[in-house]
Amino acid sequence: MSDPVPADEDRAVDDRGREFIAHRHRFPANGWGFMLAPVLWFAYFLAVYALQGAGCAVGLDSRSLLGVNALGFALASLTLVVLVAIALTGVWSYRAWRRLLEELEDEEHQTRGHSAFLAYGALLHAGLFLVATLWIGIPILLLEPCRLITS
Amino acid sequence: MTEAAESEAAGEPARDPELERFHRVWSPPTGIRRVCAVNASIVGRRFIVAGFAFFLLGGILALLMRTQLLVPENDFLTPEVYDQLFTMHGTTMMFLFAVPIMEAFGIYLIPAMIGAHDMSFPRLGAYGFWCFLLGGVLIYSSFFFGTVPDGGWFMYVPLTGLEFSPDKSQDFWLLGVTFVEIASITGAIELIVTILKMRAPGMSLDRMPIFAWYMLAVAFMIAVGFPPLVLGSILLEVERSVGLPFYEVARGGDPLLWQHLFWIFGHPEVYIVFLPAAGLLSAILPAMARGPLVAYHLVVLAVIGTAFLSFGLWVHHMYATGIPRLALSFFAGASLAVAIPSGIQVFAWIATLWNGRPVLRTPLLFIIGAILIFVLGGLTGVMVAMVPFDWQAHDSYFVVAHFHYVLIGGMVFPLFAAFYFYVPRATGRMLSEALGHVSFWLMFVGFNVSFLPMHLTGLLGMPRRVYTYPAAMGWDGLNLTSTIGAYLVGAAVLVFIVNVLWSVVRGRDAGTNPWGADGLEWGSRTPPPPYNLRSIPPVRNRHPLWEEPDLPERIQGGLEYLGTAPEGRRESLVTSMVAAKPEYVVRLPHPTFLPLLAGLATGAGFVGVLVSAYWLSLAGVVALIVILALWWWSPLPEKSEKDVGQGLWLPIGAGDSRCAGWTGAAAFLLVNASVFTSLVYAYFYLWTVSEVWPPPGFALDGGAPVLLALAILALAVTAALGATTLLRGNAATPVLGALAAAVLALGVALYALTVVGDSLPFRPGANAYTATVTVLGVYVMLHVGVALLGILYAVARVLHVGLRNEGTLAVRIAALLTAYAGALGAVAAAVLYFGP
Repeated sequence: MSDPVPADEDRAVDDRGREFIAHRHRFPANGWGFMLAPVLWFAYFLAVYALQGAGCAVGLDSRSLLGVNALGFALASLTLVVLVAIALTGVWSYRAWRRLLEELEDEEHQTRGHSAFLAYGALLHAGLFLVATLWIGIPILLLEPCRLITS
Repeated sequence: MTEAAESEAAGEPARDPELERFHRVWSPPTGIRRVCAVNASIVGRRFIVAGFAFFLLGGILALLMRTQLLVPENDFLTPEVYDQLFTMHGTTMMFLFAVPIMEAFGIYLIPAMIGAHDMSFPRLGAYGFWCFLLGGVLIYSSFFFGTVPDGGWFMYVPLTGLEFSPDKSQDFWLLGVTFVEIASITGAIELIVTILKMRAPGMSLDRMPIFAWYMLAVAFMIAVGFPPLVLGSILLEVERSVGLPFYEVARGGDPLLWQHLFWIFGHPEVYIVFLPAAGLLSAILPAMARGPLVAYHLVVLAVIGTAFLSFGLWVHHMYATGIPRLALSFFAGASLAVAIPSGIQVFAWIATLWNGRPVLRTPLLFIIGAILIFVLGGLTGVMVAMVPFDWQAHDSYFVVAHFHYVLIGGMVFPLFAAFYFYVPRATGRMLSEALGHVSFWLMFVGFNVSFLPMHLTGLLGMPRRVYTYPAAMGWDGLNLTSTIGAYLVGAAVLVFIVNVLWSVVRGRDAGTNPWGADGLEWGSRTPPPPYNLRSIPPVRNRHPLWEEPDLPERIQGGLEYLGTAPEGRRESLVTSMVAAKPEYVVRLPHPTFLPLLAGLATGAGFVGVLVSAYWLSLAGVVALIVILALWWWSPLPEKSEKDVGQGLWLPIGAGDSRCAGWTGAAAFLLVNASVFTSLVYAYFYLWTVSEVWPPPGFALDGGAPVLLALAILALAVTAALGATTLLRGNAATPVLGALAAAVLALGVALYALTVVGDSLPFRPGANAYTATVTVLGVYVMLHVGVALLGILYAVARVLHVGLRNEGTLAVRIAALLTAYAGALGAVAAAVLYFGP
């Protein structure tokens, strides 16, 4: 019986038990890449929530920056940076995933090794959390940062 | 099939001496000593039975409430009792039934599904069970003392503060629930480490059973989501018993802080309950549809997406509390986004049915019922995620209808599908299909008759939590209908119980893999032995039993890895996190009373606070420390490596970062960091709502506190140096030197604490600022104390066993704890001296 276990970190086994070289088992086709978009979104969510609360507490909304509300500007800028970062993660993951598929096909192996799985997962995560960031970010352009519901 | 496997399959006494020894090693004791069993298969079943018992209790409370609401102006229950019942109903269903029973399924099934002989920390699992059981008993004992909690399952202050609830009723809730939460957290740590480190060789992440993905995500959610409530409860208990104000407005506190801490836990909690049930559904569906789960990758994405997004929803329970509109919109956006992964799962389930050749057995009936009901609950969820609609429906029966559709559709129906699917695995007997169909239709019809009208009752204006209502409001007929439906649901549960009892006596033999499922958990004859699978097979694909039909025979014949126990020790394989490459053999504990004793000691700690007998709490803590030291003091293996089968030699035990114990320590610190982050959040939150922070005359000055912070930082550096020296050279002298330096630094820190204690410029209970600063300081010093204990233990361990690789784990964990305490000190100092 063949050993189903990779002999080293650069080797993987396909669904039929055959080994292939998985030297692409690197970012973003690894656990870190897989989790990058969710973590970015989570950090973003905490940051906008904290920035909005702290900004209102210190009166940042009453100052202006480049002619617009300083707090709104800061929140919108943060959103833009995160959107770009998540989009880049998506592009990067997509390229890694395509490359893995092509290389694995060249090796005449089934293409669902765990590296390809992680790269594909990173791509899907980027898509979902891009939408989530957008939906949270759009109201920043429409609402005053500190206005209470009753005012 | 080998002779031994045949005899095992036939349920006869094993004749093969190897198999006999293997059975003996893994079997729990008999008689009264069975309470000291630690096998996951046994602990998991205990959890499930106890959780189901609490489900019955919670259900009885619900029926009593529905009886009260049967007709207008009914006097079946007094208002006071009604308050107690809705509080205990919610508390029971959420804390004593839903979360524990879902984790229990994880403990029961995950080792078998991933090809492990047991969970990573069997004693921790057993300890969790005792905490759960004793905590549940503690909460319910309030009925005997006439002090039943009545502040709602959400325990909002100021109603539950000392001013409006001066008796012990809320203390029963705060202490009992925190006690129970220990079980949830220990279960989460166990699940994280087991799923990441104990999968069968070759079971890389992309081949992991879908239920394992769900449980992994849920375990992380519990590790991060439960601590805010633990902290909130501790702060409320401290406010009630010691007088430090966090929520009291008069002294600068804010009741909304409680709501934030509660719902930072409370909304992920909904998904902590839903996701494991959805995982069971996803695991059962392929067997019922006779085809693989469609879009495995997308479902994994949906699980992780839901786990993260669920932490961005908490304020949608607080839309009516006067939060700025923009902040509300963040949560509304996340609340809408979470519908995407939920939708992905629903479509994947429908596609799996569409793609396969479904057989309409009872589990599938419950699955279809679950999908229908959950989708309806999800749609009303999108409605109440909209701020304007939520204001209209807030605190009305519309919300009651919504969350029962989500929770019963998303959790109870899949749970019953799992009961019908897995009870044959546990008992070896099939349940009656006829009774199963009766039970399903009673439950499906009863549920909808009960809860569908509640949408209308709510839109017609009936508020939640009222003990009665006047006639002529237009609510009479709707309430009558709801009550009839509730009794139908009760009847469905009774039919299920009859079915289980009947099947144990008269049910058809379940044999091996009665449903033709694809997962390793069906790889043994039912009921499976306490070690689940005799030998651990290499995994080559996602559907091992479908792709390799002879696998159960090889597993039961002991032909794969670790199918024997020549040293008389319980063992399983530890593998790498992503590729599941074998790393070493882990020795697992044998039956012991220590978890039960640890549970009792923990209970003494909680009861001591409840009855204000603080000596009892102190005794409990000391006893717990002694028990834990005994618990960890295990002998080193008698040899360094062994043949695990198939010609593979692996080390026995490991003391480095590949070790399951190391991963467990890291998971524990994740939980701890979440508590600390919640505390820092509380500090900043109170700042944002205060007029002046710190209040005039209460600002901290420099000097001694800075010395304290420096000493704690010195600790962190020393720990880091110690760990580095160890990792580089494995040399004893530098490590012992580093440990000695750490002890010295701790001495300085403790000295500094006394200096601070003498020079505090305020009373801790003066206002919310001083209370928060005090708790931050106590929290850091508590961890310095824990690090000190860790260092003392590591020194004793090194002196006893030397610095062999397997013996260095205590040193590494002591260094980790010390570095962590240092990090806490640094963050606390930064918050206090550089923050607002």
